[in-house]
Amino acid sequence: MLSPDFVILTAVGYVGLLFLIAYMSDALANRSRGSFLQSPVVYTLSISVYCTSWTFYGAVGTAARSGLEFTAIYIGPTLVFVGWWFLLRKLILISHAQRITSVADFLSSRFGKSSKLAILVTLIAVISITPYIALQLKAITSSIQAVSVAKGGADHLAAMDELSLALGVAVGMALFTVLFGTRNVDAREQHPGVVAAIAFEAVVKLLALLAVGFFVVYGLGGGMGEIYENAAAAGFDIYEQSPLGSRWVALLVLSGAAVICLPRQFQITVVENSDENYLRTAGWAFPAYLLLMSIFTAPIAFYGLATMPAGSNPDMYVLTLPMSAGYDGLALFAFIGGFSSATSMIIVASIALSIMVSNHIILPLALRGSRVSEEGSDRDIARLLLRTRRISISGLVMLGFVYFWFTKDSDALAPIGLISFAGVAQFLPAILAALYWRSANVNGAFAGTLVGFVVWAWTMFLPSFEASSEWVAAVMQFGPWGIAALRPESLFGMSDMDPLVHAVFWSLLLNSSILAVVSVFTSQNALERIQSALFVDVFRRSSSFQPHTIRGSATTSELFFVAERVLGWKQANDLFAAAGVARSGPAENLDVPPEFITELERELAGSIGSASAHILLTSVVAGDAISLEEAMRIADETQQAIEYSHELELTSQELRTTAQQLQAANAKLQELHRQKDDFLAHVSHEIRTPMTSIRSFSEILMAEKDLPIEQADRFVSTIHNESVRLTKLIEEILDLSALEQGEREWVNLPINGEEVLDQAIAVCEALARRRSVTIEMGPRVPYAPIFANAGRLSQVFINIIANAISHNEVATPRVHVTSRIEGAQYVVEISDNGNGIPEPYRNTIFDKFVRAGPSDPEGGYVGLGLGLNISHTIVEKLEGTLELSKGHLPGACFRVILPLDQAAGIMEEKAS
Amino acid sequence: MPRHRTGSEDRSKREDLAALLPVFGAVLLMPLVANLFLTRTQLFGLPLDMLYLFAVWVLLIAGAIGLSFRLPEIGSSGDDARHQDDGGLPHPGKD
Repeated sequence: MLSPDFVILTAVGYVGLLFLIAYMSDALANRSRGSFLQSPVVYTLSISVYCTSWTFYGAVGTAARSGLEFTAIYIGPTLVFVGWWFLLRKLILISHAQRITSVADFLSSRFGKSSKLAILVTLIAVISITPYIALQLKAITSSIQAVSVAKGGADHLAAMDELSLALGVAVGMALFTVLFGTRNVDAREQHPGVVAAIAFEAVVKLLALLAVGFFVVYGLGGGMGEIYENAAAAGFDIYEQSPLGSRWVALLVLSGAAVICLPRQFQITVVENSDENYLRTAGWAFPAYLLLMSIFTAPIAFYGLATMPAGSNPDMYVLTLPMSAGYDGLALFAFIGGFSSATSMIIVASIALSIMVSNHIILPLALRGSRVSEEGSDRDIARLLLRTRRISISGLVMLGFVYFWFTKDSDALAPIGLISFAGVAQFLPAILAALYWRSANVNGAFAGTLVGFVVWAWTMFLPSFEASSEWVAAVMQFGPWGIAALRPESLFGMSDMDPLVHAVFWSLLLNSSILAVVSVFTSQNALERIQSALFVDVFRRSSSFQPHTIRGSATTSELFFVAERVLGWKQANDLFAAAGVARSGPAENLDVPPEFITELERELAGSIGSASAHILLTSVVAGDAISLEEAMRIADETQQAIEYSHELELTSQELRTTAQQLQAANAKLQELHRQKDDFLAHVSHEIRTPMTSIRSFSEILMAEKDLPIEQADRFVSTIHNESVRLTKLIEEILDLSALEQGEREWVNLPINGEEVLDQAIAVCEALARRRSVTIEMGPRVPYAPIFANAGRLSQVFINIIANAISHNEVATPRVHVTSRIEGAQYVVEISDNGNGIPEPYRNTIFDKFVRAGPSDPEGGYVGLGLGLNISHTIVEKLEGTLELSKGHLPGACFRVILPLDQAAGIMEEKAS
Repeated sequence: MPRHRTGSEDRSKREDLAALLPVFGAVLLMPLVANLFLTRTQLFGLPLDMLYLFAVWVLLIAGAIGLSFRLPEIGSSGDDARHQDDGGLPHPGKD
């Protein structure tokens, strides 16, 4: 049987071992940077500080009381870690770039280095974590008591009552944490020694729990299946009693939030991380660690329920089962495992919280109280920080003890842990907004977090004192001042809900809603805008970009004075030397470059938080040549200039398009000009030929009076023919000009198209007879009502028929005329059996001066190449078409299509 | 199967998978789905509801292991703010 004194002394010895590991690791880390201590394995193991004594002892208790609910506490973090690529990666990249020291520093830095937000977050963290520290004290005292009860409670140390024991443990823990958590103020708040000790404790608690699990399941229980069989036989329900519901979801959300927001998790996962790529391993290894920690939880619980006497505390089964089986060594190992879980949590949580308290509450107060740069001031910042951190650690552990004192009557471990989880979950909306929402501002974050915290305190923290305070019990029952709607566990009458779900629902709902609404309706200041861009766009930012948040100048000596007070002489000297800023001789009073001020601010932020570093440097950097607001205004103007330039670009694009259109129009004009020149050249040529022959023949007639009469007649006939041709040419040109420019006297009337066609055929019959051409009538319609100018239409028909007669060179020339009604159109086809239109002219036959065949050598009808062009223009004016088509004779076939006169058709129908 | 994707296409697909894994896990763990396995039956002598939760858990870990080898190195695309860190001043007291 184990002696309780021996157990306690073993625990003290174990703490000594931890101290040795931490000390050696620190020494090792100072000598070689890339050692085993900085590896993904150690990083992953240290993250498992998440598994506290609540996990070690309490999970078995939860499994015994509430079934599978215990897994939610591990599955939430599993989801966060397997999705590390999106959330944790961004969080760590930002924190490295901004030298973030804590979750309060993260939020403060993002929201314009706001001191008030940092103070609020720090206070919430302290109040939320107090129950958690109390939980660890409770677990340690309960485990020592479990050993004492088994032994009979005769030994000296274990004979102390619960409170004295807890006080002893608290004092021991505080001493230990102060001793190696605050030995110096590190430049980046990294504690390789502490991390190594935590990683070692992670291995110890995992091995201890696995050892107990193997022993209980395979040594005592006879295998997993048998344990469940026996539990069922003993009357225990081995299945989940009620379906998973809102409580399950709330637990998943809370545990997922806790693994990001808990100060100790933020400290280990983000601040102590030295390489982002470690997440690659932690992304699967930490969930695997959690899985191993919980694999035997349910079987141990069911074995304990089935075999231990009624009334045994299920939270202590991990310890009491090996003890009752007489395996003292294993029980001692289990005790050390539980002790490891509790100590690692207390150490890391109190270090993280002490950094927050000193950086965000004490230091800003001290900085505001006096000018730190004053010569002769006895306020040494580094020493002040160390002192406040030591006091904070002691104070925090003692606060945990006080909470433990007040709530010692509560039996179960799990509810206490959940209170803390829900408290720190109030940071989640602000953290998510900080990472992904550029417009979120400090007013929204502050109001949302404050309201969330108040709701949490009212609905969850206050009820935890129900057993120890009559006032709280009365408020819970009747509400404050008798207002039932404000009862902590049934706000606004929402009473049929699990208290945890109730608190999580109201606090997170109000928190995120207020954050969103206030952010939308208020604006960001200049610093917030800079910081929001740095945070939200961390992946897009080029590595060389670093805006200067402090504008102005300071001398080397002033800045060195400040740096030395925070970082110490050696570090400050190294920093200045590395940046190439000379300090000796005349350089002492020279201004340093603004980039260096920014760099120094980041370095100081790594020690004292971004808000304090900003306050400190702003007090030293004198004579802001240009205020930040001014700088942002200039940036805005630049942005406007960029937008204006974009608009100009668009306008110039439009101008380019217009220029292209003008260019096309110009090309068209030039083409028209060329056509006009061609036209004039054609006309001149056409006029010159007849004029030349007229002039020549008339000169002959005038000069030679004795010409034979026949010859003189022939000459006069030629002069006549040429004159006719000339007149016709001029008429056609005039006609074309009249058509193109719009004839004044163009009057359309309802007419019969067939009558016009018959008149045209009659006109052409003389020519046909002279050329021995037969005009054949194909099928014709009796009546074709159209709305047209009869003279002009007749001109079209005569031109086409005359062309068909004149250009037919075959032995038996024929012209074929048909007409028909197609739908609402009157179609006339005039074809011949000549050689047809040669292929090269088919597309241009309706252009001016295009002649497809040789002119009439006998001086008959002579084609000038304008007739078809005129006909085409007339038909277009009549809203019809003239086209060259394929007829049933081998020669050319012209088709005239004209719309029927609808009004005439209707009147005809009415008349009939 | 032969792979013909370009580097950036392949990278974005792997990043999509990294986003889908936790979403997929969350869906499988929602009461609507998880309660389907609350059948009060046993598999290999163990309650099915518990086996289901652990199976999803193992699946998520396996997915994360697979992704850990495929996701690009942080900083390989120039998105790493750490270069800025390293390119600046060395950390005093760490040498």
